[in-house]
Amino acid sequence: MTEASTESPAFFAAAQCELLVSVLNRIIPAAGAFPGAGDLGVARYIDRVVGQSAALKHLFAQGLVQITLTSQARYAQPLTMLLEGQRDAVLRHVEATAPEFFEILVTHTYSGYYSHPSIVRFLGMEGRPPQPRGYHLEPLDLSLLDNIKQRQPIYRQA
Amino acid sequence: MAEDRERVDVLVIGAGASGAAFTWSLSQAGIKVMCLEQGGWMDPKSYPTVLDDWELYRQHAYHPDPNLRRLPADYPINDTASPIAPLMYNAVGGSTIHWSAHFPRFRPSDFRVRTLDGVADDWPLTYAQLEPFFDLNDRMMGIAGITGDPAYPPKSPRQVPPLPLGTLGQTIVKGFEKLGWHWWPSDTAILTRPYDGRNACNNCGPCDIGCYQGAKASVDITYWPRALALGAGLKPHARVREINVRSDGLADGVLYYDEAGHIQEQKAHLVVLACNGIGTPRLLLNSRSALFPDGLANSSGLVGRNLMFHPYAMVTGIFPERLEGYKGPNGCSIFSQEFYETDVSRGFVRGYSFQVVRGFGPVATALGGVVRQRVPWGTEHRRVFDERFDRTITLAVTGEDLPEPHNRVVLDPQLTDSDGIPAPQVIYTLSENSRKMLAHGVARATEVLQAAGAVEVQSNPLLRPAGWHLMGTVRMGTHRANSVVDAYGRCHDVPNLFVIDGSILVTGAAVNPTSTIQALALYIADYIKQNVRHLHG
Repeated sequence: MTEASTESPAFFAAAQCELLVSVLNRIIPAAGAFPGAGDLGVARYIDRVVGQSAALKHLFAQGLVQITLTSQARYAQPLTMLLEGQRDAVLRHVEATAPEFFEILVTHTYSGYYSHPSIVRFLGMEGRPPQPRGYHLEPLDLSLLDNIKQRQPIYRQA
Repeated sequence: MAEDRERVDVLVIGAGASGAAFTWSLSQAGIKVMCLEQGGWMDPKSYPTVLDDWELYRQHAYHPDPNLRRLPADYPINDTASPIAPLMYNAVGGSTIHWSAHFPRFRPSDFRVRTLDGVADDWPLTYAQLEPFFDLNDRMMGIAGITGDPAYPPKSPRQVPPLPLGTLGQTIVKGFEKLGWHWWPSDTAILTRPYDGRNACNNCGPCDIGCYQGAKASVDITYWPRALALGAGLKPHARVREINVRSDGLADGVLYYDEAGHIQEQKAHLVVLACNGIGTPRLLLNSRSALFPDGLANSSGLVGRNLMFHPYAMVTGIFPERLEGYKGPNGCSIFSQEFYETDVSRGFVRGYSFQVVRGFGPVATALGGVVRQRVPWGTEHRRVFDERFDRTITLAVTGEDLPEPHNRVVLDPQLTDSDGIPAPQVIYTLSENSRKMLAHGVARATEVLQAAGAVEVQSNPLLRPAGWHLMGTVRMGTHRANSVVDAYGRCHDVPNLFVIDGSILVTGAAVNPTSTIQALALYIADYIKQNVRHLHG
């Protein structure tokens, strides 16, 4: 949602989006050429997934409230205003107290991030889907079988 | 629909691996066969491997677990009382749509476990009797491999050369060679060269979400086009509710729901079940009548009992270098049967295979692959992800499960499918023998990964989403006290009712069962072709 988009969020309100982007940037922080998950726009992916499920809507609405409350209780500030180490401390607390929400949040963050074409490009898989081009592999070198062929049968006659 | 009420010679229920092979074989003899399948036809050009976010399709539309996939063709399975979740696909082609096409045969000793090891039961047939049908099935499916494996009696030449190893395969081979353990390029139902009008594999990787090239032998592109050309009938989106019986106790045909949800009847002289090790007992248990109050063909009380999976442990080694593991069919490279036959000094009977699988995609890597050790979030994320991505080799430990009557498929008292047909419940406990076997396998897999250069090894002692192989629930045997069907898949109680899927397997061996299931289906078809005049009800 920091990425330019004409798509309006399916579920999250603007303030929730802002919070989510900040959270995602701590789940997968920027490192070298890799952007943070929030900056990559993974919040849009999560918004789409959550928007399709009543159960997830409920879980995420509550989870984000818990992040906000924890941040206020510990540091008297919203998460978006905290230092990185403070944000991580808040998220670790939420991970411990709302494990179901947090696990699903991490799963969808990883799913959205690592299926994004710009990330796959960095990972050296030729930067494209597996089909239709596939990949080249050399045929099996049959001389590798020389040792094993010398063995006596290892199956029992029956 | 008037045509539905016309009696066909043979009615097959289920268009998967066994139903397709069987229908083709009978159609060759000019027998009129009709097949009903609850799923529809797949379009290989719609498989998601052409999309950027292909990996996400495993989480919904192509998930192997019907409870999570929940497509209209699927039925729910209550698996809360099982540590292993049953997996399947419902379509023309059945679970061969998403299988990895690893294609080992059962070995001669697998048919003689009572005689050799004093456990379970011998089969009422032998490897030698099935061998011609293994060979015939190989020709129909198109098998990549190479002869000379010391783990098997000599086999007929494979149709196409073995799969390439790639860097990943060459790396793990070094480990096996260092330890002097058996390994061999797996027989796989994936073409390495064009064969029979189908394309060669281009090593794209994710066979489990459908083969875009048609190189993987799913039976919707191998057996079915040939069977249809011979005049067989195949009705998709037809979900069978129950088998009808006549007053003399013979099967009369079936009642099924068509795509619009209307009940239809199809009569037949012979009824043949090919619905897999859960679907088949479910249908028999749902076919209750005054003559068969405990379910059809169930005078032994064995319908649904002796459910066998292959319990799987997964062991992943992390290597310092990149392995190009995303290249090549992800479920197939080499296998090992070093620990296959019984050695009682290990503390368990029977044995296991190793199946070496290739690398995980980026999403699967982040989520922890099959050992489920998720990459941590936060500041450590990038380092740990980069240490693992494309640097893993995984060994699947495929253990032989033994038949135990308390492991079973029953009808769930509440759960139904979308047509209101009672759904199955699976009740399963992992035996102590299997637990010891998998622990042994994890230790040996760790050794071989370390010998190959792994810097870290992670393991999962029992993979939950591993119920690919559903076996034993309508077992074959010599008489009605120890079995539901005879050596030709014919129900002891209902002479014109046959079962040809994995349900009839007496034991499960320690390899993927599809080649053996299909060979059995062809063997039974051969028997029916020779005896069809006497079999009609």
